Amino acid sequence: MSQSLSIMLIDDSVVDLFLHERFITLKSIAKKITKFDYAGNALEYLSSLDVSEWPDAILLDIQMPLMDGFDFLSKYEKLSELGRQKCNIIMVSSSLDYGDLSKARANSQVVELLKKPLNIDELIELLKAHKIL
Amino acid sequence: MSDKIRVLYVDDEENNLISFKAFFRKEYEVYTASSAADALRLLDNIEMHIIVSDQRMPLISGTEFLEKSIEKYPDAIRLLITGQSDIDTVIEAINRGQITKYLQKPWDWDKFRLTMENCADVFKAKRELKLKNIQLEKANDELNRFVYSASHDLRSPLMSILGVAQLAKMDDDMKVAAEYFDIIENSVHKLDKYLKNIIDYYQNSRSEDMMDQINFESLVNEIIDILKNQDQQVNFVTEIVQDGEFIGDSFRLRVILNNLISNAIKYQNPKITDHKVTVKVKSSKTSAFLSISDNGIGILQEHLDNIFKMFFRTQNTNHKQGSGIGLFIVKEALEKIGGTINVVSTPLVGTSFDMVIPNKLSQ
Repeated sequence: MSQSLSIMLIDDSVVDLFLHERFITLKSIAKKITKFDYAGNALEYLSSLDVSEWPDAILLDIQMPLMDGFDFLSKYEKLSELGRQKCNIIMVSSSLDYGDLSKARANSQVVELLKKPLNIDELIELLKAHKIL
Repeated sequence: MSDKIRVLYVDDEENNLISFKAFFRKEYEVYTASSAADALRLLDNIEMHIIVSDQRMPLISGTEFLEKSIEKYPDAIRLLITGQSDIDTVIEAINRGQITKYLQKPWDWDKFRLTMENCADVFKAKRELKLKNIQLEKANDELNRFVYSASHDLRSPLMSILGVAQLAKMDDDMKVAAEYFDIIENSVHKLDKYLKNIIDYYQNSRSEDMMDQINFESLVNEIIDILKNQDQQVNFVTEIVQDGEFIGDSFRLRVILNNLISNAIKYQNPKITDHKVTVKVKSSKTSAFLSISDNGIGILQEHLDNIFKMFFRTQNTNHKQGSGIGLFIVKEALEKIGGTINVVSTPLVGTSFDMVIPNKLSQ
């Protein structure tokens, strides 16, 4: 598999950040992984990037304190359109809350919602199906 | 404030007002007015529970006045006094929901008393129902938040463990294995702490007040002894002055101190090395003053209003995150024992929680 992608991970749980990074590394999917435990910092980082530097995909957690996944999305909309066209948002959550799940599915910027624990094969399938990988 | 039911009586005949007041002043807090205009002014300042009005008054009639009073006090009980000839007005007023009861003129006082008692009973029942409704809504709201939080906070450590197990199967790197075990251990601790917190909370909301002899010195030291393992770098300073006996609820005091001291240990400022947690107690015959302060990361001003809410959490720089239930439990426990709490905090300087807890000895 080609190590071609740049993937951003946003999750308040440092454990999940570690797990997701490890999964991606073991499957050699990405050449670059950036991690943020606070969505606000991720936004700041994204807004500082040139379009060419934007990640191909973001794995975004839903339930996070201070700025949750949906707060992030509403601010994300205001970032560079070219950057966003390149980038695919995949939400990940351990939530079983029906409201959260339907809200994620209803959001046009979200490619898919995956449940935690992350099933790496499922993620790879998804990336392939959307021609990201 | 007195617990008496407040009654307003409006009648343009002064004599009626005087005899009404004389007859009912023992059972009720009685207010009178000789015109609807005066009565409305009174209503601006005082919340009335029962409003009694004569029908035939100049300018504004009884039913007109009572209808106006609905806007201000929808829960008040309205009683109209009227003669035989106005019976159609009464029927219409009842049907339109303007009045609850009516009394026919000329009245006999025993019947009037009975009618008033009736009104008071209806008012109390309504008030009770409203109170129960508020409590029910609160319980329901907490339950909703609990389910929402449980779907995340209880599940996420479990999902981390599951994730580690799946990852470990594909990973040949033995060096990483130790890290996997650490994650499992931490996740189990997190889950366990969360469950303990929930049990504390429910015990607090159910159990009755306890009356125990409190020795603050040993209580505080006992708690610090258990908690100091959380972080060996923290220095504890205790200043405990206990003047005489203190009677209080030892279970709730323990829950309160446990949470506050544990927080003080947890949220340290990473930029300094002399981490300090100070516990001060000064107890007298009437109350105890307790203060738990630290030189930790502090709390942002904008969060101070929210920290006592259930499942409120903030992001902070050292990746230390609470369950969002600790301070909520503190507040609930304090409410049960009649204590008050005040918090002062400056980011990167420290936080101080000051409490006053009544000594049950004096009651």
